[in-house]
Amino acid sequence: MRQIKVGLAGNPNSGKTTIFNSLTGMNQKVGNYAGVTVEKKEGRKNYKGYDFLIYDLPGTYSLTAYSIDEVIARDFILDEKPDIIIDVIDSTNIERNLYLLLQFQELNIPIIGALNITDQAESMGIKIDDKQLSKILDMPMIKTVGAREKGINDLLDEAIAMFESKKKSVKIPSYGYEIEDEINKITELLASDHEFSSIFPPRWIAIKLLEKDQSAYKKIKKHADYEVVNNTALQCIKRIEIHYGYDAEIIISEQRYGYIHGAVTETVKYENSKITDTEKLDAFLLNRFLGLPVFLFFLWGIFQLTFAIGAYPQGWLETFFGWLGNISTQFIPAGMLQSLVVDGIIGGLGGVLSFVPLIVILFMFISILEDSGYMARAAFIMDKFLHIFGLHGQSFLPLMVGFGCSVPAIMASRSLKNPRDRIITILVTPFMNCGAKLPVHILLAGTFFASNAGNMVLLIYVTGVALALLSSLLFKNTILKGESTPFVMELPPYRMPTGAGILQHISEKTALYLKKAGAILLPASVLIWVVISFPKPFEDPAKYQKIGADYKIVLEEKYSTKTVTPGNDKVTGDVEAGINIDEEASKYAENLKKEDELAYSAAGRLGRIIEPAIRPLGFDWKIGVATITGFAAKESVVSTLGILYKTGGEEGEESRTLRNALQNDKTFNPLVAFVLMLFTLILAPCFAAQAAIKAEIGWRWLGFYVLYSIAVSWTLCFAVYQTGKFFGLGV
Amino acid sequence: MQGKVKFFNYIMIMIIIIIIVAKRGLMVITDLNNGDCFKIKYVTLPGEIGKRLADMGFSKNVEGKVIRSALFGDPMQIKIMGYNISIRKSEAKGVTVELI
Repeated sequence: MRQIKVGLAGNPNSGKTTIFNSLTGMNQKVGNYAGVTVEKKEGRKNYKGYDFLIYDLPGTYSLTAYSIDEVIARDFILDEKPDIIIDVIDSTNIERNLYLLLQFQELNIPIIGALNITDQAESMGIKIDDKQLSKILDMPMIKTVGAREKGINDLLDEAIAMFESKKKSVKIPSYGYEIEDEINKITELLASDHEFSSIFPPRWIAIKLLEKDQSAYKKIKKHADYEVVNNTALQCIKRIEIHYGYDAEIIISEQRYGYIHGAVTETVKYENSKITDTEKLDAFLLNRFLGLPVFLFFLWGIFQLTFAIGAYPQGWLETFFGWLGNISTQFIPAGMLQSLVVDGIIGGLGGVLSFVPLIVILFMFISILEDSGYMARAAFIMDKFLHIFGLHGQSFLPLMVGFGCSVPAIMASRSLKNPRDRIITILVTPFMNCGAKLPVHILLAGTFFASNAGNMVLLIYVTGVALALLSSLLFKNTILKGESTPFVMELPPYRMPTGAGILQHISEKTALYLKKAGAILLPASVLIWVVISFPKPFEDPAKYQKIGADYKIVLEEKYSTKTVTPGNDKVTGDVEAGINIDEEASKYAENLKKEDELAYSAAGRLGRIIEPAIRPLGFDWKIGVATITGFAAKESVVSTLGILYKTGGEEGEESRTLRNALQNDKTFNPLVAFVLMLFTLILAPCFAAQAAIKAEIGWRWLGFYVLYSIAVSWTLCFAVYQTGKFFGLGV
Repeated sequence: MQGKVKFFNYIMIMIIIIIIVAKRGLMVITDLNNGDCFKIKYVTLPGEIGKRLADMGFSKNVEGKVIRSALFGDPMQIKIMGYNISIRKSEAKGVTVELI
């Protein structure tokens, strides 16, 4: 079977993905291009005895060296030497789409044009004479409708015919006498080095040099006469700019569009120009005053639905893993192994999978927004505000989702095409107070600011947003300096998203999460288990039996005296409610044992080691331990505090016993509680979020982020605690 | 005497017309109102952004229309070559156009 290697190229929004899906069906693989987060998709198709290997190139408008997508697309052609390029063209927008096609022609490779979305073009009154266009451009043009799989076999047939005949287009766009003269000079020079010109098409490199393409200037360093070529190119640019009066790279673009305009005037007829549905919708959705409220409403709806619907499958998963834990407890003898399996592995696995429902639901909404064309509008609406802080209009969605959970939020930042914007957005997203941190805030605010609890929690949220915006301002002006990304963004026509497209989007994101984040999260949760379980103190059951017995006596005395003198106080109430003194005593002893174990464990020791560092924030080693377990999951902070304050680990944030215990503890006061809330907000997020950051932007940025968040949280908490103490606030 | 005044008036009117025409001819996109149609004269933006706009069709003699701008007047929605594009004011300032 003969293999045909096909590169699928095209503008963003040209329906390239629907063509790719129609060509390959479910037979595709998704990966990443080395070192960048640009998705690499490839698929296979067997057709008439040929094995088609189809690469989905990133959607681009041009082939400059400015954007990573464009560099990937052109390097693919230069390095991988595909047999054929299929360029998908949006027929409703043919002039701009042909611009990319011309640049592929210059690369001197066999190319087929797929005139896609012809159904919509026809309904808009755009008539394309494909035969004539194909004659003018000297290359095959096939009419397709990707969403309805029309013209797909024609494309494959044409590819086979082209592959067998080895016919290449000889027609290349002309840039007019003056520029052609300069192109020829450089091309001749380049062609003199045969080795060089066999790798890089000389005419293409010549044009790129005139366009001041940095990567082309790097490529010619391999040329035998590098100096001569370089100087000639610079002289040519100068001559062109003197002749035309402005920048050579812009003149070249204009010449291409001039050539296209000629071809389009001959072959495309625009009949009626009635108001399109897109224009009608935009009049409402992009309305100067209505646009923002409508967008906020959509966001609010997505946020609510994701976490409301997601709660059900999350509950089922919780029940399932609880059941699995019980089963394992029954089958594995009590001891180390049981604890490892139940608390470490099953707990960790449950942790990994509990995010899946959120990711699935959120990405369903995101892909509807993206595929319908609304996402670009949302960026349009939000850009002004976010741009002040160095963010991009599209950063808004990840930040908003961050209020629910940082993991899907960090993954959602993939919609941002520019690496700089994406890095800034990912780095500030965890400052948005996530849902798992909320129990900690509710516990502390409810305990120490009873009448103002709501306001204190709100203050935490506001602080988080302020930190996110200020941090991005800081990053923009320091480590991620550089020219801000031009915000030149197409507002594509609204299109109905397809079910297959959405499903594919969801499955890709979920697989990516499980593969990348899950691989880190599971070992991390086992590690946390090890840290809080080891080393074990020497088993001394007698000690705790004695403590239990002593406590029983204390309880008996307390209750017997109280019952003799009944009053309205609480303790009597508890006795009347019927308290089991035996049970209370054994629970007390059990909790003490847990506390001793935790204190003896590596986490406890670590808590004591870091105590001097957190002392200036008003924290003791117990809070240190809670912070360490908080890395596994922020909810753990509450249960760890539960263990350490002798109320058992099963307490939730509403527990009255835990609240009483905290209130009676000498370390805690309202000021410390507030500082701890701040600390929980700012300090590095849970391992799941860290794994997501690593998966998106790599270890280096994750390391930077963790250090940054430690520095910010410590500094801010130190300032708040010391100021509060100085003025005697809340102590 | 009469002829001189007439000639002077004629020159003044010509100067005013030239100023109006020149002003009309030397506008940038941000000077336009919503709904205004224009013809691009040239793009004067350095480096990436100039090239990006040129690649997207901001090219000599191409006609376009200002559709609307976002809440604070920025960014702007422009229709060009039959499709809609959003650009920031800071970039729209670099596109010199002629009102049509």
